[in-house]
Amino acid sequence: MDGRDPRAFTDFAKARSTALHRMAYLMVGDASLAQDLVQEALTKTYMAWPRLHSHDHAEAYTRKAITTTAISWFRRKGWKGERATANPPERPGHEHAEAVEQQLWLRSALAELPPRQRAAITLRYFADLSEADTAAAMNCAVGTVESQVSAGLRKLRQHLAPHRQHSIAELSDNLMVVNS
Amino acid sequence: MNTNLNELLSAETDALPEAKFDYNRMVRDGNRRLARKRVGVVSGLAAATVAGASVLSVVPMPWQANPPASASALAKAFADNLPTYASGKTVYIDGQSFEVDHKIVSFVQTKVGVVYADGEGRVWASDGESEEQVGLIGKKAVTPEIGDPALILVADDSRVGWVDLSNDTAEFRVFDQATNESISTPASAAPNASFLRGLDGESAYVRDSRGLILWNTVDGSTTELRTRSENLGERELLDAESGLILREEPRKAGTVLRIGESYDSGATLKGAANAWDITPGGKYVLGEGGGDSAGLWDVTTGEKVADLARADSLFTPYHWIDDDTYAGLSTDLVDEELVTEISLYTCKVSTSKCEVGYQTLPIKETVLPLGYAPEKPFPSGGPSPTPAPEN
Repeated sequence: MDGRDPRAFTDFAKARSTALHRMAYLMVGDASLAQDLVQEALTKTYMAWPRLHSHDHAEAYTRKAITTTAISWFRRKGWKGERATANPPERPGHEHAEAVEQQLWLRSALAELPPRQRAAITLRYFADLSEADTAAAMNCAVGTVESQVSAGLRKLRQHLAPHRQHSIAELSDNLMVVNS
Repeated sequence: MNTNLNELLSAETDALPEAKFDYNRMVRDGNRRLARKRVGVVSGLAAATVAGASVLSVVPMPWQANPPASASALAKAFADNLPTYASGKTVYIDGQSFEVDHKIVSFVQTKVGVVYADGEGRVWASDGESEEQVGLIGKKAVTPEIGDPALILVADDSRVGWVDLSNDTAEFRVFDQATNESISTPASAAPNASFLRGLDGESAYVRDSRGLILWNTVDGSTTELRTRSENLGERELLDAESGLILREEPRKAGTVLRIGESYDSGATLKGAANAWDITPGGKYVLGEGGGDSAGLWDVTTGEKVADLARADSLFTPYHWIDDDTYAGLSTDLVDEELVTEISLYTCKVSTSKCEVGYQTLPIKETVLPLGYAPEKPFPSGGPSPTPAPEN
């Protein structure tokens, strides 16, 4: 990765943009906004390309750009999940009603989370990052990640409470186990 | 729950429509922003990519005192091309300050004073003693979206050029602050498709529906330099100085950077990944190699002749004082989103030494004489601005 090689960057961006878009979508709850986030984050990654040295570093840099941009932007604009139900992805038909309900619950629950908690949950449980890597992406201490994840999961459980008598009891139980 | 939550999150994204990304635009926008960063800062955020710094042997300077300016001292400071910056309605130069009548959104410095745009898009000229409106660039120019034309005010010596909207239609205007005279010529395109790319003495380089035009601001004559289809955006003219044109040229194997007296001639800058500024005497080009190290290239041979020494802080040259002396800004953090303060220095190429001028300026309130306003923060759309506590 010596120098700012547009071809090498483009190869990297093409290979990782779909996964990054999915992660960004979970952070902001809107496919179009997530696309803008990734487009912007990858542009920043191209600018920083000569000092990133490897694709792993480049991906970490892009994740950080997505995360910090999403958090800072929602801090400025306010965050109450207004985007959460905008442009929800269309699901293929014939899905089981329970699965649909779970996804609607998740979408709604994520939308209620403050941006840092939502980012922490996404990075830890979707991107499967370690606490240290999550802290790097969020530009915060590991302890902050722990508290954000803990608070996020607690809020997910609270959001889940009214639904516990319904079809997602299994998830409810698992949530309680992890966060106790 | 880890597995379940992971599965649920994954399922949430499985049906996500495939996003279409414009990879060419990423490279194009990245190069454009880098070019602008090399001249200073962009979007009100500090540049973070030029690691080649010469912040060695830093000597504190008494700039921060900022006493009210005397007319003669101000005139000398501007004539000497000393570094300046603005905050609100205040302009700072050489340890002095003076007030202008309106809050400065973007500005340039000349050998006489400053020419600035306010929040209404009006253009004002001030030498610290008197002030007058000299044009109108419009509100859009001072609140640009990302991707809007970057160079709004272009300065050279005592002259400043811009695309003026005072007469409802777009026209190119050059104002000479030394004589208080303006000259204008109609643009043949709408304001958003008309650009003043560069200014070099009596020559202005303008782009509209005719192509890239060399406009002689003395006799009014025009010469077509590049056709309408040969438009590389801002990179068709990165800088113009001392009769030289610095530009990017597409080749089969990739783009090259060239400098010369015409688009048909000139030296290729060897090993340069980017270039953005010709020194005042027309001897060198400031650019960077592949590894983000800033350096100087000889305009005649195209050979790299000097590296700017390295340092710990990130550092970006943004203003040439003479062929050996430049002003630069430094930041402490790599992540431009987190930069809150900058410091300004002057440095000597010949000695690789810098002196600190203004320290720990708040980035959000500091305007450098780059001639363009910060872009609106990304993204332009989004949730309603309802304030909400984070937790």
